[in-house]
Amino acid sequence: MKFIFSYLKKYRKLVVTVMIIKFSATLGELMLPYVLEHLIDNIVPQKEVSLIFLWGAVMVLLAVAVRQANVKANRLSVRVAKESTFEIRRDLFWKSINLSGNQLDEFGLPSLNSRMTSDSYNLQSFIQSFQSLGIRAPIMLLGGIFITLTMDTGLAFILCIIAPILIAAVVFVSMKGIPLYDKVQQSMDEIVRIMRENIGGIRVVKALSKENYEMHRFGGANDQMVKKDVKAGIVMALPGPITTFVLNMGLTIVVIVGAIRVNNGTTKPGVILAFLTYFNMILMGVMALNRVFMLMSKANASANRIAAVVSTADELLPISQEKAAVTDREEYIIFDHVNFSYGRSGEDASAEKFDGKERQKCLEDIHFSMNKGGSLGILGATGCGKTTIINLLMRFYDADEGNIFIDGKDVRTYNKDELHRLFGVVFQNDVIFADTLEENISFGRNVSAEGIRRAAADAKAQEFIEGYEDTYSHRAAVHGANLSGGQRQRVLIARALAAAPQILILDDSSSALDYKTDAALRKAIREHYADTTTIIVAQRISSIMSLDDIIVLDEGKIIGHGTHEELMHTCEMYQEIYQMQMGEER
Amino acid sequence: MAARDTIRKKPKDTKGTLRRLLFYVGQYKWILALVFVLCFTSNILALLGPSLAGSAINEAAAGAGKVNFDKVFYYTKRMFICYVLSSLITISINIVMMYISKWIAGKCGKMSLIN
Repeated sequence: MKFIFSYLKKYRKLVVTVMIIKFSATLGELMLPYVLEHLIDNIVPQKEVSLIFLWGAVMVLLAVAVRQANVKANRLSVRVAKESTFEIRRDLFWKSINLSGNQLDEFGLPSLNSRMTSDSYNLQSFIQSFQSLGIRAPIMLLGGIFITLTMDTGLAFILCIIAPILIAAVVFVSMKGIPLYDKVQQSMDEIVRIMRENIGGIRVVKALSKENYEMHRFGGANDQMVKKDVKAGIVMALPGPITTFVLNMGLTIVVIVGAIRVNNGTTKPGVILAFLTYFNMILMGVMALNRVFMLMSKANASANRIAAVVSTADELLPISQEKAAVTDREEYIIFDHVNFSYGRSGEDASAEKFDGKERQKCLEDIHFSMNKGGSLGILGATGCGKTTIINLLMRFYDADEGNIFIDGKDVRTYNKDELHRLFGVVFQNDVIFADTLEENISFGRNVSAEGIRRAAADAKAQEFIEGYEDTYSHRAAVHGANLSGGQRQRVLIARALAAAPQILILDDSSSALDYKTDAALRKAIREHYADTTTIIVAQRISSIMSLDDIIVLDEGKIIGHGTHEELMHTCEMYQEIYQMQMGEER
Repeated sequence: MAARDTIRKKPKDTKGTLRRLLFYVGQYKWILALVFVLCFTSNILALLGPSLAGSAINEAAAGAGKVNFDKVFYYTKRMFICYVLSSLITISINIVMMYISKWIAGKCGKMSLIN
């Protein structure tokens, strides 16, 4: 709740205004039955028609004023809800895209997804309703009770017995409802995750004829959520009708007791009528209160989830010079005896996850260096840690032991944007966004049209892009679905080349390119980007054979390091891979 | 970064979508018909309540010493029955509608997976 209110502080004047208007409007509404009672008991007996019209007009005017005030207040409350939720979503999004690698792994993408969508929607509903219903409901309740007490204490006494019972019932049910809604949101996460997987991998699912299996899985998760949602819904749906019933019973008793009292001469008939209306108002008040509680419990669960992300401490901030490591070596990129495992290490280590066993190191004693303008190839089987080296170099994670230097400085001392601007990267799992090809290449860096063309030419993408009618303004679909795999990769390479990076990283980015294109691409890089320090991660020996330096990785350790000729003599695995791929003994 | 797919595409084929939705809803048409009838009944009963109350009050308004309690009880008994029935029906409707709407939403989700 505190989280929500911190965002509302900015709008407190508006919120207070809304509450004041609502307060007055509700008071007006409460006066209506009172005026009616006065009309029936005091005016009608006077048998003056004009007076009846006068008081009737008073009631009409009062009703109109109340309506206008309510509409105005509701409009304002919607505005406050919309604007404050906009800010919450914006902050959540900003935080989400700035999370460190570890934090992202811990939260998980589907969870972040549903926090941005359904959780923020719950907040919006609540902010809107608590300003309007949140004022109206208690006032109707309390005001109704107060006025009925002053009108006729005897009859009001009945109400005083019923009201606490009602409130207790509502509160009790709501308390049961809050934890249930939390479970519903968790099930939502599961569903979003499965949907996302299936929609993203729909071609794989179809190719392997796993549609039924996936349907089953989704069905399972869906049923889970439905069950929880229904359970929560039933619990929260009971108060309404039960409240109505109890109140109506009270009404019936009022009629009976009222008849008795009229008979005794202690009360006038108009009072009974007014009481009926007040009972209804109190009923509405209790039901509205129930609804606010419901929204509040949902919003509370959602606010906690959003706050968990937004209030996460920033990780991987630049460290001070005193804490940084120093080196007097002159190479441009240096990995100095680096060890790393995913999941946190040290005190933060999630020990339960590893069942007390020794945690396998993802990277062990990685030690190499590159000069400026040099080129490095990283070769190895799937899952041996090639991409992890890149992740550490770009500081998506911090190494557990050892240090990484770029241009003589500890990589951790760089400001994040400053560091990332050095790089041009094609990731192993990269994304083409639903935007023009031009924008996909420029990617918000305001690259000139000439720069884009040059990058596309070097990436061997110029030909197919300029083959489109709208050339560079051609729009790519989500995930580049309207481009072939090779076209996608070439656009991504163009993106990496476009801003003339200091360090070029190509992580398995020629996998979809044919041999000829791959060779032409490497030639272009050699010729036009000679000063760029290049790291190519590949599974094809042909891609890295001609590079200055090659590292062979196996299960996180360097088992071979040198030029192609040296490795052919010293590294058994390299020889094996060469024979397998090139098909002959050299 | 200009309009990255923020070009809001108007939902194409609203009639078709509506037809599709009605198709899903239509699978429960008998239950829904029942619910409709129950809802109708519940509302009628809820309206009868105040109407009977009005008649009861009329009797009560006869004035000091002149109230016909037989008639008053006649009406209040009927009020009681109306309220009991109305509440029971409403609870049942709420629960049934909740199941149906969740099932339909779930089916829509599953349908979108197949397609």
